[in-house]
Amino acid sequence: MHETGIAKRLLSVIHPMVDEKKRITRIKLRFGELKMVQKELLETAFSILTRGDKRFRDTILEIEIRPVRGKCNICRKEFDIKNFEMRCPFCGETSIDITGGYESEIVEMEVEDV
Amino acid sequence: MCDECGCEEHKHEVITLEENILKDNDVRAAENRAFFREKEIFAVNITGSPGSGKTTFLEMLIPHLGKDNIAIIEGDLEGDVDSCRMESLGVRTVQINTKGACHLNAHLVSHAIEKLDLNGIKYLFVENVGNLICPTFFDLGEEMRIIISSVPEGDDKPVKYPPMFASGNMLILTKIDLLPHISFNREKFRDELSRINPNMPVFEVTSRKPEMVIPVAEAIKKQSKEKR
Ligand SMILES: Nc1nc2c(ncn2[C@@H]2O[C@H](COP(=O)(O)OP(=O)(O)O)[C@@H](O)[C@H]2O)c(=O)[nH]1
Ligand SMILES: [Mg+2]
Ligand SMILES: [Zn+2]
Repeated sequence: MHETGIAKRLLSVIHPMVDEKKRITRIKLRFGELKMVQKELLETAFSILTRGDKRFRDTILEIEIRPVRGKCNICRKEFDIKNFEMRCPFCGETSIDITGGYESEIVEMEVEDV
Repeated sequence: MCDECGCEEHKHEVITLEENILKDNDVRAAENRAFFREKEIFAVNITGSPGSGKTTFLEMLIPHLGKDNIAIIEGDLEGDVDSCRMESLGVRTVQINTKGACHLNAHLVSHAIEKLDLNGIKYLFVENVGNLICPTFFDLGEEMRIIISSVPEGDDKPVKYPPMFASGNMLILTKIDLLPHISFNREKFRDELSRINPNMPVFEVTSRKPEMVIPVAEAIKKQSKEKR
């Protein structure tokens, strides 16, 4: 669903950076678990949007998923949130801030001259 | 020679970007939020599945907040059915058609605002496109996010779509008149919610008893006063 939008944004970042003389061999992406990105859907969207474009022939999408992170407002400790358990594992408080898990970053890309 | 693959002709290069792909939306959302605060408008993002009762809930709510205090943005893939429903109540409304996109974004909302006469408006309700996944990640610049979940969708929706349910500031369980006809375990639903979003208030409503939204209207008024 939102994978198509993400693929479009991704391409709008990359397009101005690569001319016809280059091929992108690999793109490394990082998403937080809360973004619910499905790897296969993103790959499909990406390959449809780049079809026929030589710059993106056989480009590998490397996708890293980051866990949801929380910080307790009471004991100030930080922790991974598993299974959406929005509770501090140290003191049991429910007053927590989500400090990670919303990432949607293009980390790096590898380009070769053709 | 290329040190990546040892070949003679290719030159490999790794470009570090560390860039947020969805940054544009966050920037726009922050602009919207600043605009709403300046105008003292309390903006509410209404999300939930298609058919969960978002528009019906708004219809019930409007009389309790005063139709002249309210502006509405309706988001749908196509058509103006919902904005017509709102206009027939005499509420200032603008329709956004996303033409296939499964969520509204801050950019679309910023243009919709331009089309509205916001004079005297205290509350702006944005009815998002019916979807439990994508709207989760698109901040519109709202002060409050209300999630609408209906009895016939089943009690397992929070388990299946936790990010959406974790992102809400208020939850409305609609169509409770259907409880006798559907196996919906209220305890299970509420337990799951209190695990995912422990401090989110939950209200139950049905269009058969429109007065059930009065406590919701009171809670929204209270929240909006705290923000002012
Ligand atoms: N039985 C019952 N039906 C409802 C209730 N609220 C809404 N509906 C019906 O559910 C359908 C979808 O409602 P609507 O408000 O258009 O949903 P939306 O797509 O989320 O905006 C309509 O046929 C409504 O009449 C309710 O409390 N009880
Ligand atoms: Mg509707
Ligand atoms: Zn703690």
